Amino acid sequence: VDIMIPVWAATPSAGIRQAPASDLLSLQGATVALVDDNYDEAFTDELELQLREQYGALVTRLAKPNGSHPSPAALIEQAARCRVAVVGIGM
Amino acid sequence: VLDAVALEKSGIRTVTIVWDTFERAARATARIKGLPGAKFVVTPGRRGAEGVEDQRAKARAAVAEVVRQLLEADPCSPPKTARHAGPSMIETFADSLQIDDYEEAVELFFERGWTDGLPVVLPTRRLVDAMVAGCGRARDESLGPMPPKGGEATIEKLAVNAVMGGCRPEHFPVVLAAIEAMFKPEHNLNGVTQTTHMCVSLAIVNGPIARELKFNSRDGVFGNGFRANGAVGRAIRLAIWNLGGALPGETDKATLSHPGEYTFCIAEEEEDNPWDPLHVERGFAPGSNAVTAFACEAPHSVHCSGVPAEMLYTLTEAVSAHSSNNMLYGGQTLVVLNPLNAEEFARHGWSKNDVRQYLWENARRPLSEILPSIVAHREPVRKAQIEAGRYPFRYDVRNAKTLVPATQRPEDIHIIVAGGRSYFAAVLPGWGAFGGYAATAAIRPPIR
Repeated sequence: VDIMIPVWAATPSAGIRQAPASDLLSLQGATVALVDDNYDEAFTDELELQLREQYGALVTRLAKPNGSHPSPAALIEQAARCRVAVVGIGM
Repeated sequence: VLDAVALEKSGIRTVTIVWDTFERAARATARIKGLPGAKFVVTPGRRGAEGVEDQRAKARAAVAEVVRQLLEADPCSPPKTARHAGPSMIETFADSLQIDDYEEAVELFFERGWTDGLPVVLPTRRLVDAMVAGCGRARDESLGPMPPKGGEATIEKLAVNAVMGGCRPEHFPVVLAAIEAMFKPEHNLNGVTQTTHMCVSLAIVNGPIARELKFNSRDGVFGNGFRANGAVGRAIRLAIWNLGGALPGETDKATLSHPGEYTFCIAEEEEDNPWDPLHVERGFAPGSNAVTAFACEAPHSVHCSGVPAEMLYTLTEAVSAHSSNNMLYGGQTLVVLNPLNAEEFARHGWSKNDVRQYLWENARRPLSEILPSIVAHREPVRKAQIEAGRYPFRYDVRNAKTLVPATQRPEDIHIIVAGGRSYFAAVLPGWGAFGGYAATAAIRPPIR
């Protein structure tokens, strides 16, 4: 009997080539996108403070409209103008 | 982590900070989205009476690792193995396999993780072809990627899962409409399938097709005994299982979930019902067929009988139940009145909107009753957010007497009529303001 397969034929490894670390040796003066999902604001506040003061990063903080949903394209585009990004933390 | 995937695609080195609760889900999502080397910093999720200082301390503990991973050259540690093997993805692009032994085929579906824990109808090519032909849509048309892992929900793959769930070809257009409704952005199926909350997407069938296909809308509507409800509901769940790969403890983080995760589909009773049915309220033509998806908890029984004042007394208590996500976060809720309840309301001159408005105005609790719950330890955080002008709040945390409504707006209380003519109604609380909202899609007529 010909039994049909219910799952998708995926090739997950044929994926995205991870971004290189570029030539950054430190975050001093580097632009960092901090995508804030609105969970645990105090955590994100402190992280931003540390990145700025301890590591000298130029942080752009972007708040997601809904922490349980991927960011809209416009927010990703804005984040992508920075050298590196930090996302999280709830989901 | 989907943000990290999007940013890495743009060539931006990204570190994802994740609560330990979601670590496995995040790693699995990264792997399946083509980013197995995603960089994670794991931080303890909320525990106990956590305040602002605790959160700040966690951030200080995490920052060095965040910076190290932002600057490091190599991919991070490999993902952990899942507890449940789940639907195993095939390496070839074959769409079928040859098996001649019935018992062996049934067991194979369990071994490969191609079923939800119950046996299935074997999806023979003949049955699947009949399912595809009956819906009149192209075999390779895709409704979109199925959350959370994004397998393509093609007509053919959905047909395979519909056969497995026990559907006949005439049921298949209802399955497709339900999936289309769940794929609407306001339903946020990606979040619904992964949240720690116990909501599951319920499918509510409206229109003449419900009667034609013998959906149960009366006694025991959420129970067993009816092929249409059981098979359509299970087909949807199997599609999410096999195409979405929502695995308990891995991508599906539901703390407890509920039995509706096997099958969760009802029809509204439209004949013994004095009011407009749900899909008509939502803008679809009377006499048309539609499915509405709403992510909710299992039905909570509400003793509901007598005159409107008596019914509203218990309904109000149930809608504003302590500890539900509605009471804590707003969102939407579903009230199921039985036909006798609806008849009594109508006989006393109450429209459905009157009932809805009453519930919205009265299903409230003073903030002082909510604060001692889990929200209490977050109060300082919420206060700080309000002062900083951050995202909109449902109430003023500075006034303990504020009456907090169960939903943001009256229209977020959905009311349908179903069940036997008796003394009980049901409330099915939603996920809160995170999504799972009601979304409706038309059922395309099947080809006969």
